[in-house]
Amino acid sequence: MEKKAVIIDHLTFTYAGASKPSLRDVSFEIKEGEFVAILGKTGAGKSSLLRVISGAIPHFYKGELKGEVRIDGLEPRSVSLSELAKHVGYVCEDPEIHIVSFTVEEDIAFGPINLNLPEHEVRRRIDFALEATKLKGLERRNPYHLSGGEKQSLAIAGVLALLPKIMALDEPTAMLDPLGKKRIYSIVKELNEKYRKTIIMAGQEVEIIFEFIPRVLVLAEGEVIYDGSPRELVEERQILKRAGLRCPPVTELAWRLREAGKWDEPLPLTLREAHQQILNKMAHKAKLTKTVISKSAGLTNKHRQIAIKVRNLYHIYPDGTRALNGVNIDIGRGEFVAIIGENGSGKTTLAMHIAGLLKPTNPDAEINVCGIDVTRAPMREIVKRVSYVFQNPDIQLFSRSVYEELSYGPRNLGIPEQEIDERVRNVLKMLELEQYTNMWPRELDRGKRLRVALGSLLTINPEILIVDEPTTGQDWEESRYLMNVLSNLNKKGLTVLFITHDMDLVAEFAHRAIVLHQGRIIADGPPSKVFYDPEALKKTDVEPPQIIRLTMELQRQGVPQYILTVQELYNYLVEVLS
Amino acid sequence: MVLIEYEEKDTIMHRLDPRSKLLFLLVIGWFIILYLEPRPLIILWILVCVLGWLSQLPWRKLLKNVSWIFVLLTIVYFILSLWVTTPEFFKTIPKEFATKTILVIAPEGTPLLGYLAVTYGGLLYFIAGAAKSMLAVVAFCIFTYTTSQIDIIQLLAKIRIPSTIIFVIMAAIRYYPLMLERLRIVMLAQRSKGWEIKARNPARLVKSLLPLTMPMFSEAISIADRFALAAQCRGYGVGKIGFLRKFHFTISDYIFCALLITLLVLLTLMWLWYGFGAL
Repeated sequence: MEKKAVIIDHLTFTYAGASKPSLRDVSFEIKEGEFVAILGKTGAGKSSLLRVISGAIPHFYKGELKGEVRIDGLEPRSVSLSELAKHVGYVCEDPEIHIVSFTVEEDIAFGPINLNLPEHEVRRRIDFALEATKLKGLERRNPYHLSGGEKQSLAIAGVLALLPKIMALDEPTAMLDPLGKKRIYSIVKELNEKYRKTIIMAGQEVEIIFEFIPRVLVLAEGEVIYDGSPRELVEERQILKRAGLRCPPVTELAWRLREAGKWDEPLPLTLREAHQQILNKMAHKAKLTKTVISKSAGLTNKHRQIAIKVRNLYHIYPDGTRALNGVNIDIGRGEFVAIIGENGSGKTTLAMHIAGLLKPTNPDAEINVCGIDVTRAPMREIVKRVSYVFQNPDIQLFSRSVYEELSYGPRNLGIPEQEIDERVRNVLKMLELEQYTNMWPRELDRGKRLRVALGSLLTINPEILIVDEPTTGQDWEESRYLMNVLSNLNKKGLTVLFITHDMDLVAEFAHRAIVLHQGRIIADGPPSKVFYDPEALKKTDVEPPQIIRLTMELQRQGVPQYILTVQELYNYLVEVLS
Repeated sequence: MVLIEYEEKDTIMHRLDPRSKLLFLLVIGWFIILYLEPRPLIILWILVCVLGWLSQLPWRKLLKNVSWIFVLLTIVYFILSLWVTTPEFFKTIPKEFATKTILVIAPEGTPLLGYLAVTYGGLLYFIAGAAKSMLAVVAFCIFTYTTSQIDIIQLLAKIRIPSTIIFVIMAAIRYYPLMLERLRIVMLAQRSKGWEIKARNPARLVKSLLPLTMPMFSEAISIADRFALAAQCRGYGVGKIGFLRKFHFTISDYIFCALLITLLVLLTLMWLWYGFGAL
């Protein structure tokens, strides 16, 4: 009989001080060697469940725990958290929290030396963890100097060195760029297949999860609403809707075609499956010559008035890192621009220069924003024109109520109280925050906190809004909500720049994509041009959205090479297949 | 708190056994307590500079990181020196010279404060205080720059420091660079909302710092919390701490410790017999 790694029976957990349980009557079992993904929107209970599995609940996070929990045969309540660490390795989304030392090798050694193992065993485990997490060759590096993906690999290596049978990973890819995400998924896959580790992992990347994780647990409001294979899950639209989950774009395309009576096969989960099935369907159809109008067409002449002009911009950080290497750009008023590129490519540094938060390190750089030279203008003047929303909302919020938070910016600029009140009320309404007006912002969930952070800048009435990774750490529903808000603001004339790793959002919302690589702009244009330029993208880790990759695969079948979204490809295919 | 992070290098100081480097810290600490007069501190400064040079200490980075501490300590010692006015403070230097007033800050009978003045003796006390504090900071930086964190943990465990205290030290070493980086981002975030320090009134100044203190306070608690959890999830606190590499004394350690002990005995005897280092 196969041994059970995790047994959870009628588990209900309520955090101390909380009014309602975070997990309700949860029951499931996980066999040794299984790979299970936990899905659900923010606040669904994913982290709480992983905390129970790792023993952090009830040892670290206090509350009322009811029901039976068995982890590798142990009852977590009767074993200390440190003891449990030998059986289950827990990794959270922020890799920097796991770093304890100033070299990779010593960081990995931290776990084994805590177990007072002999020196040769400590060495053996370091070697194993380095090998399993692809960190060989980086032993002497300072963990702070590693890339995001490498840092998260190190966090995994750190717990792996304790040789646990189970790995509980709480959104380990949430803060990573596409390359980092790929690295982590490839490592955990290998841990499962080669080293027979039981992997339980929360994540948002349905395209990858549905491709190679055989079992998914879907949570909604603390309950398990689905436990089974991804293939069956995509047929359950009600469950997906309740959980706030999206399907991979190719699955969504097939679903829409099925609704139109053009698809009767099982829904595809991967690009390869979708490609093959569409090829079969198109085999006997004539090529369609009609042009599909892409949303990016016709926008080029609209933005003649320059809002942002950057010339010869260099920035070298005090540690010698060359973040920007001669950037030149013009951005027109009312443009909706995505800044993309791998971590460390200079995206944030460039955006911060435009917002006047960083100064160029070369004296001849020119940054003109809405008619002022931001390299010399006082911050007060810059703030009136450009607003910068940081990735982490918590570093921006400090007031006692949402209302106060939203009125802080305009008050700093000396706007009359009556006008401040008017602006705040408008922004509260626009961001659907009215019911939280008098609440302490930190009591809100992350999505709402980000809305408050955004609102606190919108009340300044800037001409340009820069948003740094608005969707990081957000679930799909909240991401789309925010992007729709930005899109509506843009339609009203606001120039919007957003930094992102989510290429689906770029394809759907942006008018223009600027690709940075090693501090230089290597591609710039409408997404329909940038994403169909494989030569430029090859230099970076940017991968076009799944639907564009599918369109590229279908090039021989005459599918036009400027389709960006599921809807555009759907429109084309419906006509072709008719 | 670490002002200069450990950097893996192959210098004589990096190769020394952590116990030898701990002895160095203790010796410096002893003289910092003992000495109140600036002149003997020159010997210790020479020692620390030589060891810093042997460690390939990044002086420029160090000076940049510690400049605010230096300013703070200088102000603190200057304020303290204003009370060093009476003859009882001075044992070795002539009392008439030491108590000679340069500038009266608060006259005799000032409520709460009493008599405050800048005296020659007070100035010596101030210079020695500032020099000692900086000496302690630089010596500590040599230690953290040349001793890896795992070695520090092992060293503390070996001298039977309780695991809770080791954790606090370990967290403090990790905390400083992390919090410094978060503070930088918090400041940028608030500047983008038009925040600036412009108040001169202390009450308003405190209020104007609220946009920084609140997010930093919450970040500090959150980081400490998650860091504690991450450490426990890596077996911290299971029991006795083991070794990545066993400590062992080499000939360099014996020579280094012998020199330190000689210096310790010699200077302590000079202090006892001749009042060397006393005011």
